[in-house]
Order: sequence, then structure tokens, then C-alpha cells
Amino acid sequence: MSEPPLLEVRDLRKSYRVGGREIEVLRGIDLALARGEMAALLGASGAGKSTLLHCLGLLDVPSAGSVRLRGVDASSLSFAQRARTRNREIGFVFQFYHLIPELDALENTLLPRWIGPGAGPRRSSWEERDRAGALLGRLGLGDRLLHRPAQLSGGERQRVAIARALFAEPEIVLCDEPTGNLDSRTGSEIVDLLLALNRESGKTFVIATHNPELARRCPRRVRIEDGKILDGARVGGDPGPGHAG
Amino acid sequence: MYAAALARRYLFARWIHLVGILGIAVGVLALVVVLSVMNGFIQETRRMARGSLADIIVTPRPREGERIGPYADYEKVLRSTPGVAGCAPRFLHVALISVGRSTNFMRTSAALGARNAAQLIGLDPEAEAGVTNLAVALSNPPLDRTQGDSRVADPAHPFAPPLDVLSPEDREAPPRAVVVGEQLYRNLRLHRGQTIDLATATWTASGNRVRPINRHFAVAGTFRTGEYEYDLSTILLPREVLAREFLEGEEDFSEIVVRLEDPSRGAEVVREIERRLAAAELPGTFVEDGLGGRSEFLYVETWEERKRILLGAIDNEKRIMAVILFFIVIVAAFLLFALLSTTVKEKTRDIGILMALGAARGGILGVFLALGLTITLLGEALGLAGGLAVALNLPAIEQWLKHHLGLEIFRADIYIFDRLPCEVDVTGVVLILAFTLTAGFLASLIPAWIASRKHPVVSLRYE
Repeated sequence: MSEPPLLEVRDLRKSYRVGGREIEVLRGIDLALARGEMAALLGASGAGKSTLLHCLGLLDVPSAGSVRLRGVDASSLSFAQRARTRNREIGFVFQFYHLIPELDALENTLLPRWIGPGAGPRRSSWEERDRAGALLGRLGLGDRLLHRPAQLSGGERQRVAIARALFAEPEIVLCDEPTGNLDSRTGSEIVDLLLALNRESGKTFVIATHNPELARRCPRRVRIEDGKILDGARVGGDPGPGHAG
Repeated sequence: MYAAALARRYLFARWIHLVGILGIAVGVLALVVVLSVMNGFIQETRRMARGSLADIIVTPRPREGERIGPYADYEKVLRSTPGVAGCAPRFLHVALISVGRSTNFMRTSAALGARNAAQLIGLDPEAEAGVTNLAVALSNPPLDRTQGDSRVADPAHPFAPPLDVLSPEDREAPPRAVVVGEQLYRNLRLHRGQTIDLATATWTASGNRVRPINRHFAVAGTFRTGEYEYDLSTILLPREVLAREFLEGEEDFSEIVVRLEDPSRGAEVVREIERRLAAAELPGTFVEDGLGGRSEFLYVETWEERKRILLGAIDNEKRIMAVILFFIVIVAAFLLFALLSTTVKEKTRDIGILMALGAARGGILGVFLALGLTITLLGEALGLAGGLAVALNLPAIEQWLKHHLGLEIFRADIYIFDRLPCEVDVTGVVLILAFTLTAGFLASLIPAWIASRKHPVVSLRYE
């Protein structure tokens, strides 16, 4: 093992206080992800999948244990540094799309670049707009660029969300139930899309899902139950970036 | 920054933000209009006071047994003082007015609010020219034409007998003429050529008794300065007539009005006049301490000092109105605070999304601060435009309300002017805008800060 894994989690614990009672959601997770991997995060509702994704995405701070991105411990970063890291390195896709309703598809896609340092809506160059347009076009939304989320179907919205997650070219894309709110046919299309993107871009995907099709087609499956990993952790093992078709 | 772009989208996404804009606009509008009116009052008072009083008033105060005069001695000193452009003598006295054969004028005077008492001002029309605005007051068109044009026939000779309106027998030996303030003229229902009696009192020759004197005069016409009180209480007559008829020629003036070359140097010239008059040892100019300090016997003051109570009262009123009206802005700021708080609540999930995409706390703060400032600035622009439109057309609006709705907003007998003055004060407007912007900024800062402190994950889960 010459270089550290892209994302590595050791003895991750996370608990919340609800009504004076301590609820432990994650109870010691160990996980390592290599560049280009595509992992499905499986488990029942409430097993801690979303919490793990939030910790992996530096959105939430663990109660104990460490999250290391390229060997850097996230707990050593300030809020602003974590925000910058999210902006550059991590893309999110949510179950309920989470697009900004006041922005059209193109603007939602450009949003990570707007937020990024030294950029803004005025300074988003034509080149960037072209690039965002092309990305949306590749996701089948070429004629929907100026539509607002309310004018788009669920599948279309999720594709805009995927475009947004990919646009800043992050190393890691974290998806929380990306097909959970879609009918099975649209869900299938999204699964195809995610697999194809992983293959083409070589980016690391972590997908929390209940969708059996998605789980079956992912090269790696990590099962989580009761805040612990049941199988598929492969800590410190050989990353093996191969995929099944 | 994306903050401004997102703020713009949010502004139009919730129509309720319009309420915030209107709230701020109402506050700014009220402030601009009311402070313009108050400023108009102050400016108008200054103009009129300066017009009828000139820049400096010299009032010698004789000691017991001393008599002031002759005027020529004082004039020589004043004209040689640097900075003095001109001066004119005046004689002030008080009289009761009796019109017709009514014998109960003393009684009615109380019932009518002492309108049968008048301030007599004896002056020289030629000397007044270039010192006060007497000529303007004499030729100002009458405000109310119901009694016809009551102006004097020739403003250059206001005290010429009004031969055109006198009865044939009076034309043979015309009585001495006086010029009456327009409001007094209307109040007593006078007409040109009418004879009025002026009654007053003076010392007996021996100087230890008060003796009544009573003379009759013909009304030659009216003057109007626009200062309601002044026009309601003043009768002008030739100085030598007042001195001779009422005061038996013992003194020939009681005060001197002085016009300066540079009105802003008033205080400086006042001191120089005091020094020179005291040095000339003229009656009534005795300087008590002999060390150049101000004497209690000699009164040299600028018109602003003479009118300081009135000017101070209006200025004080202006401040009070400003404070009261700024509360409207403060209430509007609270409204903005409430609006932004609900917007932040409604946009909680957006805040989570922005944070997930890498927005720092400063960025989130910026979005809602920009939203609050946009609302404030739009409200200010709207309020300023409306306020200026009202302030600049106030006389027309006031007339319209009076004629169409019977609303009399401005009453000349309550205020000192015969029409509503209004003057936009640029400094004041800038202050209003700056204050409103500060209030809007502070009102936006708290919700924006709350937004920026939200937890990304909790925000994302917000339904």
C-alpha cells in the first residue's frame, strides 16, 4: 500500500441527543475507498447510511473517530476549510434532488462554480456556461437548460442534480437514495447514468440505496446495520478499481 | 459573489418582500416631506426676518433722563464702520386702533385676540431702499382679492395721501397717511381712504406723568411680507410723523436697521459697531465695564439673535418631528427583520444545499444581507421619489385637498406664514437615506447571521 486511500474512515462514531437521550447512530465504522470505486451503501432505514454519507462528505462532524481525505484528517479543518473542500472535492446527489427552485437548470448546474472562490454569476464565462450546457446535454437535458425545477419531472430534476454534483469535477460523488423518489423506469435510467459516469470519469461514487437493481449492479457493496458495517469494509485491503458491466 | 444574484432571485420569489419595500418607502417618504416642510418654515422665517429686519439691529438704551439722538450722529458712525452696506432709522411705538365711531374698541380688542392693538413702525421709505425689503412688501400682490387690490398707489411714495379714494372734503386737506399690514386690513375690514384713529400714550413734558394721545390717519394701502403675525400687527407711517405727533419730537428714532456687505460676518461687525458707538460716546451707547465688554445699555444684535426664540422653536420642532418620524423607519426595519426571518426559515433547505455545495458561513450571510439591503435600497428609492414628488408639489396638493375634500391642512392663523413653505434640504435627505440604510442593514444582519449559523445537515433535512 504505497499511497493512502482516497477516503478512509476509522472507528467512526456519531451520536445525537434527542430529548435528553443519547442515540448512537454510527458505532465504529471502518471503511476505505479507492479512486474510481463505485460502492453501494446498503442497509435498512435508520441504519445510519445518510449519517455516514454526511460524515464522508464533511457536512457533519463525527463524535469520535476520523475521516481522512487523501490522508488529511477532516477534524483538523475549520468550517471554512471543510466548505472549500466540499466545493472542490465532493459532489452531492440527494433523494429529493435539492435544487434551488429560483434558479434554472443551467444556473443550478453552475452553482458550485459560483460558490467557489474567485467566481460569481457575472464571471461565469461563456466557456463555463457552454460546458454546463454540454454536460446537461449529455444527461439528456439539452432542451431543458432554461427550465426551473418546478417545470421539470422528477427524473429530469435528478439529472440536473447529478450534473450539478459533477460540474466542479470533484473526486468523490456521494449519492443519498438517488432513485428513492423516482418510478422504477426512471430509476433504472438514473442507475445506468451513474454507472456510465463512473466508468467514463473514473470518479469515486458512494451510493446509499434501497434499490436492489442499483445494489446488484454496483461492483462493491457495503452493508451497514445498526451503525456497524456488516461486510464489504475492506479496510486497508487491495482497492481493486475494476467494475462489473 | 453569488450572494447578490441569489438575493435578487429570492426577492422576487416571495411577493411579501414587497411589503418590506413599501414599509421603508413610507418611512422615507414621510421623513422627506415633513422635514422639507419644517426646513421650508425655517428658511422662510429666515428670509422674512432678514427682509424686514436687515442684518443687524442697533437699539440704543438710554439711561435715566438721557435722550437718544440725533440719528445723524449714529448714522455717521455706522456708515464709517467697515462691512456696513447701509442703514435706516426706525421708530417703534404701540397704539390702539379705533375704526369708525365704535367706542368699545378696548373691550373688543380682548375678544378679538388683541387685534385692535398695533405695532407702529415709523420709517423713511428712501432710507429703507437697499437696506430692507420694504419695497417688495409694498408691491407684493394681495393674497386675498376679495377686498380688491389694496396696495398703495405708488410703492416709492407709500405715505402719499390716497387722493384717488379720498372723499372730496378730505381731498382739500388730506389727513396723514399710514400703510397697514394686509392681514390687519382684512381683519378690521378696512378700505383704502378710510380714516382710522390711533391712540397711544406718552410722557408729559415734565417727564413724570403718562398722557394719552389720539390722532387720526387715512389708510393709504397695504403691505404684505408674508409673515402672518407681522402682517397682522403692523402699521407703517413716516418716521417724522410718529416722532412729531406722538412723541413731540424729543427723540427721532428708536432703532437702526443695518445691511451688511457680507451677512455671514454679522457677529464680527456687531462687535465693531458696539466698540465704535461706545467710543463716540453717543447717548444710549454707554459701555458699562469700560473694557470693551457688552453693555446692558446698548443692544446691537443680528436678526438671528432677535428672532432666536422663533428660529429655535422651529428648529426644535424639526428635531422632534425627525425623531418621531424616524420611528416609522425603525418600525419598517422591524418589519424587514420579521420578513427576513421568515424567508430564512422558508429557505432553510436552500441554506443546507448551498452549504453542501461548499458555501462558507460568510457566503450564506451575504445572501440574506444582500436581500435585506436590496429591499432597503428599493424602499429608499421609492420613498425618495415619492417624497420629492410630494414635497415639490406640496402647494398644489394642499390646494387640491382643500378644494376637493375640504381638508384644510395649513392654517395661516396658526402658523406664521400665509402659505405652506416647503424646501428640500439635501443634507437632511442624505441623512435620512443613510439612517434608513443603517437601520435596514442592522435589521438584516441578525436573520442573515442566524442563517449562516445553521447546521448543514439539520438544514438539509428541514421540511
